[in-house]
Amino acid sequence: MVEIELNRVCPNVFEDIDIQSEVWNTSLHIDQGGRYQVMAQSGKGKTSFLYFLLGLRSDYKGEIYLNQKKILEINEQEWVLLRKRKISSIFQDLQLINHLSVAENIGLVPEYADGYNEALIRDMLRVVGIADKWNEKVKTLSFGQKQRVAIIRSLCKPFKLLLCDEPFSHLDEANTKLCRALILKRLDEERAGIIITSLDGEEGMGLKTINL
Amino acid sequence: MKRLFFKNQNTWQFIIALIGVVLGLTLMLLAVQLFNKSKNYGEASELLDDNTLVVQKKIGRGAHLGIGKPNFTSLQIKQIKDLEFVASCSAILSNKFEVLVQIDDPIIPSFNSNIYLQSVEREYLDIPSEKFSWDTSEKVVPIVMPRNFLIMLNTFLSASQLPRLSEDLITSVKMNLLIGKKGQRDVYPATIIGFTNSFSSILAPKEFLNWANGKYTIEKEDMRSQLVVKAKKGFFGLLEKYLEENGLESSSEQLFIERLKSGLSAGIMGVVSLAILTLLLSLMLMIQYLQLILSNCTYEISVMLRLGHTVDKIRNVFLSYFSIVFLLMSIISLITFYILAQVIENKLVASGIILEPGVSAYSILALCIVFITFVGAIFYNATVRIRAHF
Repeated sequence: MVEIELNRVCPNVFEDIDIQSEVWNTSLHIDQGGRYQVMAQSGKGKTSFLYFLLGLRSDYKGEIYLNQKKILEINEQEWVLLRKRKISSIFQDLQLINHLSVAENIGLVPEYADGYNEALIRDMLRVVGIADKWNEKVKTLSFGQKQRVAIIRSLCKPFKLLLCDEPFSHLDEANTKLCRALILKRLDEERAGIIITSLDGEEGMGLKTINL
Repeated sequence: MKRLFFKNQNTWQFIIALIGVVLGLTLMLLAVQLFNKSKNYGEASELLDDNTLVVQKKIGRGAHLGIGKPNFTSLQIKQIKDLEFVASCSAILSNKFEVLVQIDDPIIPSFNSNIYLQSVEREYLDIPSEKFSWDTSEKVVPIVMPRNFLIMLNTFLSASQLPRLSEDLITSVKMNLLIGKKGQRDVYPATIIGFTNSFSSILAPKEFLNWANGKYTIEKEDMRSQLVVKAKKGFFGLLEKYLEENGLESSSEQLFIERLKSGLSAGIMGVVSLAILTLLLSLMLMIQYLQLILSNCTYEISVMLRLGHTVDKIRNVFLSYFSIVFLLMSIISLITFYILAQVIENKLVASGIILEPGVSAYSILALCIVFITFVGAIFYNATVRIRAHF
């Protein structure tokens, strides 16, 4: 499981601004297996927040603890294990490789072979309506289709916390529903928690709201 | 993963770097091979140890006019013998009669040449006494041949379009010493038992030379123009200093082989410098190419790291790629080097210089060192640059 504790965290860019929210400059506890949505308008630091939790950025004041260990003290090997087995993520810019096919992009997940076979992946792609794109180069897909590939890639591995940065921003209502349902199904299967950043809030997922 | 990182790369820089690597490696292998072989030329079977010198007086214009004779007096020999850093010293015995060497063997054309015979006390030579001795009952005279004589002989064979003789082969050639005046020469079969760089004359056992001098002498004066001097262990420098201060010199310094080796070494050092420069430049180009690839796939590397791949795993993709490429270049260089080495050695053989056959272990060692250095540089560069994206 993954438990998160924030203690008076403030991004360096907000240092000169007297910013107060349910995340910045306060204490915040995120339970193991808890399901949250972090809501804010653009420019309030939603992406920064997720990047801090993933250890990809450290330009902040205060302390963040991941399973009682300061994030800044987690070493390279520990991060590798966390990213492989504990934390999965959907990035706002998707982080797909354009010149590779859908299958190859999903195949880049290091734990892909660990119980997540091709049939399972194809089934998930079918659920979100892009099963026929298996051998298509990602660069030929629309942004919405790419977003669904990124969602599937994040779900086809073991995880205890799913971090999603505005994962449905380019999806229509129908596809958003399909993706939400698939994510919830996988969360139940993995007994995992989730943190989703969103502009307007995600309905129907039973998420606790944290205002940024 | 290779498809992920090695897409749309500008291969021109890489091709130029590869050509540079092949050129640099080939030159380096060649230079190390020739340097090592020329350095070892004639060293292995040298009969005089490192502490022993053949010494003569420096010849000035006065010597030709009879002033300051080149011969050593008994007093001068005793003075040298009594020096505290000299272990032993004795005059080199020379022939006082006419002598020719004749090659009488079906494998090479008939060859005659006037020669000089010399002899030194056996204690100075690294030859078992039973091999280098003679008495009147012996039919065959054991001799030690100067290497420059072999070079001269090979030059003659080359000019006659005949195969050259190696040191091993010439020891089996039938040879005679013809002693006496023209028309009255006696024939003494001889066999070569070793080679030397330190003497310019053929060495014969002292017993034989004393006996022949007694039988065939045409000069009364005892010529003692050269001495063999052995320094005490660790005092060789003092002996050299004494020679310099007293108008004496080591005759070996004047020998053709030493001059040849020193000239060859200077040339080879030039090739070594060129090889090192070419190698450094091409290896730098290769490293730059690696850095270019790493810069071009910053995005792909960060995706892989975010998905949970290790720095080591990504680094190993680059390491294996560049190692295989370098290995292939090494093989090409080795083949090119081998062909060039054969051509050069054939040229040297045509000039009468026969080097040890085969590839020098030092060349292979140098190649291994360059390979390890290159792999180390790739390992370090790739690790640092990939880790920066973690």
